[in-house]
Amino acid sequence: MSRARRVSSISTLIVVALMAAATVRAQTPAAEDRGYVQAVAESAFGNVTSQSYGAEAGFTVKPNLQVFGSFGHIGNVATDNLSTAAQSIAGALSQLQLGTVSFSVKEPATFFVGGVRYRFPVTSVLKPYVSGGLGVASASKDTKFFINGTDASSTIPQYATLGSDVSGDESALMFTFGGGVVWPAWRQLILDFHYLYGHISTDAPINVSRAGVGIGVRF
Amino acid sequence: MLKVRSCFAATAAVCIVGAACSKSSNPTQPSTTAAASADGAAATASVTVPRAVSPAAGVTIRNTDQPVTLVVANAVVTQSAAATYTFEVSTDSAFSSKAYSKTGVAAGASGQTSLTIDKIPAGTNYYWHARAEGGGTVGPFSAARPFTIGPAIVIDSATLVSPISGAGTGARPTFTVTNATHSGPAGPITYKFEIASSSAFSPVVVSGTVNEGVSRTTYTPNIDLPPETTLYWRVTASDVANAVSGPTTLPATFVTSFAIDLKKVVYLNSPDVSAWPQTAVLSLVEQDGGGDGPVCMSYTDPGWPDSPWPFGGPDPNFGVYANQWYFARINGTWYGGAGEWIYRGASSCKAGQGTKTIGPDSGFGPPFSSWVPKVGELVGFMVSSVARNGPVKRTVDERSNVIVQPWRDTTLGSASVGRAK
Repeated sequence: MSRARRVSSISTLIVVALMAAATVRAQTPAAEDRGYVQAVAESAFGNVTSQSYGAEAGFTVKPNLQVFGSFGHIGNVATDNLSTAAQSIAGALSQLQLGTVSFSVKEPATFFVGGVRYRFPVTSVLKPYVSGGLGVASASKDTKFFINGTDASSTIPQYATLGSDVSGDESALMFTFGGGVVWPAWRQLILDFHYLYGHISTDAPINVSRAGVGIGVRF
Repeated sequence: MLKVRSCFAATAAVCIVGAACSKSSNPTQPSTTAAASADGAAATASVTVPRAVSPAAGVTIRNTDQPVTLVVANAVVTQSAAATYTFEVSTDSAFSSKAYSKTGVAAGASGQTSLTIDKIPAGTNYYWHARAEGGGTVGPFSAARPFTIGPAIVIDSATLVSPISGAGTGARPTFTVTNATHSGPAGPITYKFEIASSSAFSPVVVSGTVNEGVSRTTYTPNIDLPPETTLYWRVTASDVANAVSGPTTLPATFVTSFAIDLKKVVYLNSPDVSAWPQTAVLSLVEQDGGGDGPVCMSYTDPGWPDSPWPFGGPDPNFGVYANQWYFARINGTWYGGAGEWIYRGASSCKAGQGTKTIGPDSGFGPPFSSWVPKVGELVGFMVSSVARNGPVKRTVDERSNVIVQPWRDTTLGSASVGRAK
């Protein structure tokens, strides 16, 4: 499934959930909780698919409006640019020495995002919301070249100078938006099913969508 | 509580934005300042080492083949960044003693980039390498590749010996030079002789290249030079193997003598020799028409075979191998014929060729038989393999050049010089 189709499908599910929740909107809102804290596990869909995990806490600042802070780590947000550059270098290495050259690229990212979450005033057990946030992400390009299957990191400098397009760490602004539904599973225990689109403004911009579930408590 | 929450939110926002504004980049290897691309990206490119192509490792380049051209296969520069190259040549592999360096060489469009460097000292071992840069990154230098510029070979000018400037010559004079001195590990030296009708040597009438002789080198043209013409000659010594030439000598002049067109000669009691190959060189004719004055001919003997002598005598089987030839212009027509026989080991001087005897001698028949040359009259002389018609059989049909000179007779006032007298 292509990235575009995955994003479209997830978006459709969230919209459907929000609409379903809205149809059971109650006449009188439930009592406000003060906030929540939860652990999050997600699948991340960018140029490549990987896993993401993290934690999030939110506080109610107004009825139906919460501010939140989210911290997480995405396993791989490598872009086409990174893969293409590494492929070019590997091709050159094949011409410069006799061994068989292969390579791997990975770009894990760690982020912290703060933002607001608006909870739709419904009486159903499913509590839909939309959220948006702004923060910072640090992406680390991890490109490795192998000659005859052996890591050639120590010999690469005689063949190439790697630029920041394939190596190094980079911190940049990150924004997210998305939505989900919160299901109060048992007493204070909540499950948060959500989808978030994220953009990291690195030199080679990174777009990554995350769909997953959070499990936490409200207070 | 609301105030606490609001404060947290505000603090978080400030922290987030503040952190994001301090973007850091820490590539695994140092690179130069990043160049912003059109979409705002500022990532530096990765640059591989260019692959050395030429000169090959360890090759020795002749000094005369300088300037050297260094060639590399283009490096890979990611992000489609334009690349420039730096080339360095040094006498040590650490490149601490650079003999040549150039940066900013634009990448070649054909997948290779080349640079022709300045001439560098001969007889020296060198190393060269190159690197690329582009997209804000300087790539590594290629491995130092050794090469050698061969020793310098110096060839001096040859010295013209003969013919001396202004001398008169025959149609095929022999040109002689004193060998050129040279230094360095020169290969075989050859000499190019050029003969032209102008001092600009354009056009060249004839030229030839010969191997160096012992102390002197000579050359004889294989065609007749134009008669009665002032010509120029010069010589250039060369080491062809090493493509080194010395300076060309200054030109010297000489004047060819009158020549006879052998194709228009009427041959008497003799074959037409105009097509016979010229294998002997007649260099001097001395004669004195007084009495039975002898005619002496000095020539190189190419080893013409003997022909049995059928006319009897004490040893009827001895051989003759050549004939003297005489050419006379009678009533505007040149007549010629083979005269005296020449015996191997005998003198090249033949008697019976005086002013009053040369015509009747040798059975030429009319009008030669009644010809009496006058002092100063131009007479031609030549030698050939056995040629006179008769029972003595011809052999290889070869001849010398023809020398035309004024008839001498000391009894009629000619100066008394030379052996013939």
